[in-house]
Amino acid sequence: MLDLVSSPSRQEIIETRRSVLLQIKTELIDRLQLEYTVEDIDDDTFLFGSGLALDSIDAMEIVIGMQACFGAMLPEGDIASLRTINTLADFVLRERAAALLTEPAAALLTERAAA
Amino acid sequence: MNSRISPIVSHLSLATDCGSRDGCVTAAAYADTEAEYKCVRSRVGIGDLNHYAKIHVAGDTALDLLNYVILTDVARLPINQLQATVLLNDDGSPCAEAFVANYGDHFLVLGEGIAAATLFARLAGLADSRFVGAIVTDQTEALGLLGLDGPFSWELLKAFMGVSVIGTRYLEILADQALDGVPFTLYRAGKTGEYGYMLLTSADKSAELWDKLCELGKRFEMLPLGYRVIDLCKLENRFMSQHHEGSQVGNVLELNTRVLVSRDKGDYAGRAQIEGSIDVGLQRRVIGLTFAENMKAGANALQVSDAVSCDGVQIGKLASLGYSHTLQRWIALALVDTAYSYVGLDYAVAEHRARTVSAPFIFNRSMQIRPQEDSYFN
Repeated sequence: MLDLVSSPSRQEIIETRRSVLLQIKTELIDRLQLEYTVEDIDDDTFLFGSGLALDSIDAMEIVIGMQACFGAMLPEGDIASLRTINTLADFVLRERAAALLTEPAAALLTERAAA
Repeated sequence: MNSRISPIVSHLSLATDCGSRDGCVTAAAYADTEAEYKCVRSRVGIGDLNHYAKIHVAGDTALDLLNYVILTDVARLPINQLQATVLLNDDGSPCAEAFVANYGDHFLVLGEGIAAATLFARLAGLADSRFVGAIVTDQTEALGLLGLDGPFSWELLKAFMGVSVIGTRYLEILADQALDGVPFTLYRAGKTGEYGYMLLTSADKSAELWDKLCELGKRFEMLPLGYRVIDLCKLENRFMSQHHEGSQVGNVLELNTRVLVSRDKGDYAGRAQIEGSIDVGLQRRVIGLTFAENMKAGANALQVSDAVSCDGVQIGKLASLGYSHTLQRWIALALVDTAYSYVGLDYAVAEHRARTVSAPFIFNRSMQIRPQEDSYFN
């Protein structure tokens, strides 16, 4: 059974974020045909402006990429998540945490409905 | 060494606090920092950027010379655009932050974090030895530079430049502009995270341009901004600051600048150290930290160089520090061992708990403003 009480260890937090960051960088490089390797892109690299210098068309692709890669839909107007690689990772991890919290509640409702 | 005084400081007696920045006496603050901060984050502020070095580089080898001293590749810079970059020391550490402007027949380097005389001597020395054919001229005292920053800075400019200013893209140059007969070149650039513009004019016209902009700015309750509040905005938005974290790193890549590195432009200052660290991996890098909300501004409990510790073991040190009026808490940049430089972790600084966070620290009001629809006066 999923333990929702104990906090993840520091190493678990690091490993989880590293995994998400790697997936995001790989997805952006592939989807946007960026001339970078995963190692070239720091976690705090800005997506627009003087960072990766992406544009509004790329932003649409990122939204699609996050859904394809993580099943997470960036809400319209959530510009705050589209600032850096790390803010995209924050969004993905928030979505995962929200899903984990709602899963037991959904299971409980299903059980009650069945009873 | 204070070899010069900003023409705006000479013109005004407004500044409550002057200081030396890059060998130039300029305003650290005009009002209290919080008032200036609220102005730049919600309206529009005007800044005196005359401490910037302004070095003109022309000639057959101008591009090669610049590529030797910066991290990025000027060959990729279109005419009438700026490139945000970092000037390098020979050991691969940063010596200044810079915008390079490409005018087609010459470049203009706008450097911050280095005295103009020092930057000129370096570039002129390289032109004399390694890049013969480059002509380097120090324009620092001949040119004046002002900044307009804030969610409605575009609207102030629109009042006399028309709607064309709205369509100006980030890092674009608009030459041949004028305000009541005072000529200037507009750069769509800034370091606050808000809509930012830099206005380049002749030094002898900069005070006149300042006064005219201040007159227009009255409708926007505009305030002059000292460098202290600009530094805070840079920190919140994670613009590199040579005066703070930039001066504390041994390798420019520790500032998360790897995406700027051009590996196909030929030799450049510090190349062996920079590309060596790419191959081997960095030992440390900069990451953002936030502190608990109940640590009040002015508590002075934290200092740059304070150790960052994990389970009693030092893993880094503070490199820059400020109080974010938006977040209502202290924020910092720390140089931390790369194994620990991930977001979402709690560490100790002095006796305080700090959490690593993503860049940037704040969400700017300008991100929510659409110039086609919004107005300060709505």
